[in-house]
Amino acid sequence: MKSNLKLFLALSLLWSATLVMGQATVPWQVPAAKKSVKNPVAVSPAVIEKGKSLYITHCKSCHGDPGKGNGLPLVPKPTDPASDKYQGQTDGEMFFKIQTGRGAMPKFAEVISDNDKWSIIHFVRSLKKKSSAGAGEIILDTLPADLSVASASLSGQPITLKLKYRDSDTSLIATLTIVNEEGETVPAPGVPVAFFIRRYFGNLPISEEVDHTNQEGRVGVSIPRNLPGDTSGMLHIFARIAEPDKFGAASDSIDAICGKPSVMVNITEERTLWGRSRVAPLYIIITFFGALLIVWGTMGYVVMNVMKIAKKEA
Amino acid sequence: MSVNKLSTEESYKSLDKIETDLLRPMTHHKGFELWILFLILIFIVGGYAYFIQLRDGLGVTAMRDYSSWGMYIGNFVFFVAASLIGMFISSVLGLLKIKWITPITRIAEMIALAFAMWAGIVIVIDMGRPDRLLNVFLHGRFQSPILWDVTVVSTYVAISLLLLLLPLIPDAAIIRRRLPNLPKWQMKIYDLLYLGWEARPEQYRIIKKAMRILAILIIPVALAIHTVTSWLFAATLRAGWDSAIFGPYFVSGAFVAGVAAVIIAMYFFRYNYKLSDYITDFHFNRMGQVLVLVSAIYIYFNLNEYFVPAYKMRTAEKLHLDEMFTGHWAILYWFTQIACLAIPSFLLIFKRMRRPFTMLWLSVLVLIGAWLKRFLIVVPVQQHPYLPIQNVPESFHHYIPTGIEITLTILPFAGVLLIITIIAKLFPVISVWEIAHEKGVDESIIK
Repeated sequence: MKSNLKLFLALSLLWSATLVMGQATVPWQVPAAKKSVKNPVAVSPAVIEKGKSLYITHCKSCHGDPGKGNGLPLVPKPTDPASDKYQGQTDGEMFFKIQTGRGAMPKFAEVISDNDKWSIIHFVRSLKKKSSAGAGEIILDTLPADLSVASASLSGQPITLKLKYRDSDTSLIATLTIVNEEGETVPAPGVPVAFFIRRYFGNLPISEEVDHTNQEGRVGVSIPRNLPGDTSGMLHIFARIAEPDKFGAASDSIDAICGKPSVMVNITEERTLWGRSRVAPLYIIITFFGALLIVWGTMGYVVMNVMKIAKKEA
Repeated sequence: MSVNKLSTEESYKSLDKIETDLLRPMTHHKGFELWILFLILIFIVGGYAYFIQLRDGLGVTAMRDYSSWGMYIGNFVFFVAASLIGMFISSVLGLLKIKWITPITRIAEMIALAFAMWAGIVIVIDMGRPDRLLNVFLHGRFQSPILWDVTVVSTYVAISLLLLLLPLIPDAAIIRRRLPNLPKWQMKIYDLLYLGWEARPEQYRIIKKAMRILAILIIPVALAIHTVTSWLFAATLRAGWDSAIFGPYFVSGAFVAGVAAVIIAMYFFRYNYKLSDYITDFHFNRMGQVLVLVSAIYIYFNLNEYFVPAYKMRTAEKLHLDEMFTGHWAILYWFTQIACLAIPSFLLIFKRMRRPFTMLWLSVLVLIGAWLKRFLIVVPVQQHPYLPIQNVPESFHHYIPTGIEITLTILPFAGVLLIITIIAKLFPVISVWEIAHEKGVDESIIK
């Protein structure tokens, strides 16, 4: 029975390994609709700078320094973003791949915001221009003049999102408003809102489905009570418009004590063989000082005794 | 060996001869100044080499990221090994009530103390920042063999010093009486040391009891010093060091090195100090037998240490063992194992080889082999890290000691010789009172 289970585990491991490897060898197909998506973020030196810093944080560890081909020796090797192969892709393809990930390439859909992903793509594009220009200067004037953030919204005006937490039933309510032509603030109905909890790597969606705001511009979600929070049970929650291409980007975040307090065990404070001296296992400390005491004590005893030789005869 | 008590008159006569013979080298030592001058010269050159190393850092050595332990650590292991002989001769053989060791115990103790003291200094030579030595004690980890090593080395130095000093108490009294014209500072040492020795029975009782306690105490400490030294290696996962028998393997090897060192010293003292009445062919014969015994044990551990992994040839071990058996280190390895261990110990099985002169050269071979062996234990293993670094500079791939390292290896050896020279100048190299005792001299007149 037990060995059957082991065999099963081994086989499934093998299977998933072949799957991962098999996947990696198949060309990465991007749906035509995604392929043609244009970069909605306007390019500027600041954006490229931001993209560069994001690249260093999220991409460099595997893809290496662009143009140097010093990415990790994985199979397949992460493509150098400055290479022709990489630059031959459309912006949409790049975005899709960053978004979904595959094999060893992580999925960044909820890890970094879409705007940030587009910034990275701007940075990656700037590499190409740099090399063809030869002077190292980033040439911006060949780009379309205005590619400002698509702020398509209900009436062309930006939507505001306000997040509230209700302690009684641990629920979140997002209120979306818009300023109409008369300058009044009115509810924004029918806007999809996604709720997340921030985690170390990426954001955890609170609900599988994305709900839309009602006529009052409100949409709510209840937070499961068993989510681990920080030591005080605090959760870092945020909500954003789920389809920013269509409705414009808006988000709000809030901290609420509605998770389970996490009991953090700092393993560096435990008595271990690998820890610092202060947390050495007791038996080692006792053995050390015990042996030292016995040996040096005996030596002291011997010396004291020998000193008696000097005593004159009574 | 039963001791015939001598009559009072015979006792005085016998003691006088023993004293004359054994104390003579203290005042008649031809070429002493020249020898000291030679050692000081080595110290000046070595001091300059150390100055360069301090100024420019450990980059002046051949140690790099792969072989971060080089000849210095090999020296350290060798020095610790050689120092174990004090415990072996005066404790193990002494407690077994083996009588013939009396004239060589002090020689063994001198060697032990000198090597143990320099072992502590050798390890400081290996430090790029010796000014941080205190941190080992302030922030040392109880879980690390390094803290245990420094602790146990200093403890062993202390016990060895006591074991050397205790039997010197009656001898200091004898020197005060026999050689009153020695320089004042030297007389002060004997005044301090003799503790008012009057050869009273209770004084004998005290000193014999103290020596006995120390002889027992030094056994676990000596085993600890070299076992912990072996754990510096064996506590890692490196192929070639990751061995369960490293402790006894090191200890048995230490006895080989130590016995060889004692035989060389015996030869030197016998002829230079004209002590052939005391260190006789009989003693050489016995020490030759001891060398065969300890070598046989060591060969047995070598078989286990090399040929058990070699039978399996696990990937990482294979890399290392191939380099040792047939690769880069093969000549040195087989020279060490065959010429410096197997052949000398085989030859010494035959009685006619156990004569002072042949034994001197066989012991020199064994001692050279003992040093080479430490080098072979420390260095080659590191050339095969489990996680090779990428694009390493060419210099990481081999280790050839630099001139600075060779100079700073000669320096501690000169230091050992200097300590032995000084002790042998200040005190008789053979315990006067114990020899007199053995010859049946009346105890009460040995003062």
